[in-house]
Amino acid sequence: MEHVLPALDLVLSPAVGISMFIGTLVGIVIGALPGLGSVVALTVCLPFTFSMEQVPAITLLLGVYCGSVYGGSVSAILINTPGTPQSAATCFDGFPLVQQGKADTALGWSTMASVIGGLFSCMVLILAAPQLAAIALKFGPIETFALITMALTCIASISRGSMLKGLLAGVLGLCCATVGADPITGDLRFNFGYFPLSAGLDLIAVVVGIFALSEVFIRVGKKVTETPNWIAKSGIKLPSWADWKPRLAVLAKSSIIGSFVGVLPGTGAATAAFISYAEAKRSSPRRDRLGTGEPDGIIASEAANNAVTGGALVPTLALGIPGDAITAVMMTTMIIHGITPGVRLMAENGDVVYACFIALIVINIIMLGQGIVLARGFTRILKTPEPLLLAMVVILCLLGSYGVRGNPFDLMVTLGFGAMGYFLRLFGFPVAPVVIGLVLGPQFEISLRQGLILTDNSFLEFFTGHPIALGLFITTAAILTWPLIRKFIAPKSVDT
Amino acid sequence: MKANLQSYFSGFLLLLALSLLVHTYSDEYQGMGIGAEFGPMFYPRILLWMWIGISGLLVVTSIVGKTKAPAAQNWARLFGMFGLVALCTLLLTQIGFLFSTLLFSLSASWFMGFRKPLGLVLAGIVFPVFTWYLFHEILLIRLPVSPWFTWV
Repeated sequence: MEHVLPALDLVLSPAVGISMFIGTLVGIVIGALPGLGSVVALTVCLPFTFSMEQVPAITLLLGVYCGSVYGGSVSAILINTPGTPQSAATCFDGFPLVQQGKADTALGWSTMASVIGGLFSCMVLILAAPQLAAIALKFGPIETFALITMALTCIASISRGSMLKGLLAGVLGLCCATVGADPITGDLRFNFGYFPLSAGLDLIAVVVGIFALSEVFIRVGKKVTETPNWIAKSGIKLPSWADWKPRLAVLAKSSIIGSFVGVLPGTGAATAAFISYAEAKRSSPRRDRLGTGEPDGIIASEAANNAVTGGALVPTLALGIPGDAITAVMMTTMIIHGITPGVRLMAENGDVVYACFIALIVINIIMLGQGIVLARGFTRILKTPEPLLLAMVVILCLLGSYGVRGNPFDLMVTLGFGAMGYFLRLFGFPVAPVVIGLVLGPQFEISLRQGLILTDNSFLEFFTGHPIALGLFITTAAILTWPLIRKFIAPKSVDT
Repeated sequence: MKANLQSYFSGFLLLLALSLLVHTYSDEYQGMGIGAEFGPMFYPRILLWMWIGISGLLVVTSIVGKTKAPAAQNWARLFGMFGLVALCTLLLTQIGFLFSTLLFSLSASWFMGFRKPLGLVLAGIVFPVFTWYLFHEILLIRLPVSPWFTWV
């Protein structure tokens, strides 16, 4: 309770109120535009946070995050094109409702389910993050090394594409983090005699390049541009209590699935939405109607993907381990503003953390209001021509990259990583592990080297003298070998 | 069993890792970390060996196994856009943020086939001017200025 009142004081300031309102609004708008997604929304909003105070900056991005996840459902429902991958499952029942002339009903279900899912995940975050942080206080360098190893393996293995590609992307990120001064001796590494490289690669410049700029190149490079040939007229009709009553079980189950999946590194909202949809298809009393415009399908997808927002922040805040690209960008912003997520966060910045918790609740309520008001304007947003949109995204990318340090070299880094991100994505490599590797790289190296000093250079002792680390290493080994075991088991089960 | 685009890309990554690994043994790093059990190149070498191992496996799997070819690309449009972004990046520090983004915005929208005058004015002129004003004048994030005017 000691943090709640100071946190309330922080959240109740006009600057925080405005940033939450604008962040949510921008998030909904960018999220609704097909293909841009939450990460692009966050990266283009980054430069706006540079001149802001800690809490308004973080709440702006929290608003963008929550808003963009909800916004993705709008285009999924109205034009059958998910604005974000996490809303793909919403198309299954949202669009059939539009075809039946019930676009307003579909938007009403998605808005309410998103808000309730988001609020549920806030509760999970408030309850789980401090507990996890308390356990994490027992972590030394060896446990931290084991934890980061597990997180990177988990993220790489669950990422889209093959596990090898995910692992290589993670290693690429870790290698990029070694550019610049050695964290222990201070010697310069990989600067190739070029002075600007001595300070290392700026995280924001890399993030903006690899996510937002590469997205622009991917869209420009497409041979066939997918433009919807018709756009449904929108409005909103909120479901009544009588409509909700038989669907409460689906809502509760989807919110729990979303929050749980959100906590796991590397999974993300898209996975949560599909697991939840599959569960609704298995257990809903109206499962036969799923896929034909049944609200259960919209609830399952939207409650789950919005419930991920709070869940994903649990390991980010409590352990300093971002589970996906979105939380990596969030974590970067916090670091820029002098807050280091991790085991000491609760003790050192308890007020700010609780302010984030309260802000998330308020943002979900703001989202409901904005969803209702914006409903009629969605048609106009979806008609934004792609060339104009991409040109604007590039300008915001350059601004975001330059604005942090005012260093022209960062613009080159953004351009270089934009090209690198394009080729990695073209060949099916996930790019999120690159950024997560870059974020976790310095801590990973320090943990390893400090651990070796503690154990008198005996790597074997990482396994023998530290039970928590051993448990984490065993989990990592299981994650790595599971695809092989599954391959081995699968043909046998077919034979029998 | 044949080489394909995936194997060439993985091969390129493998060569890159090998050249970086060779670089870690260059003279400039020999005098570093004297007295320390593990020098500054200890950790990067572990990573580079992992990089080599994984990209080697990727080369083999892309030659031996089934690989999905990357989607067909409109290379002219892509390289054109890349060129425009690169030019804008270079000009940003030469002619200032406002002029370079104005030029980029108009040329990129035109290049991607957008011809409507109102849209071009809004996105090509109003957006860069508004962004510049917001950041440079209101948020006081100093952006590069042109050599011709001291304030823009």
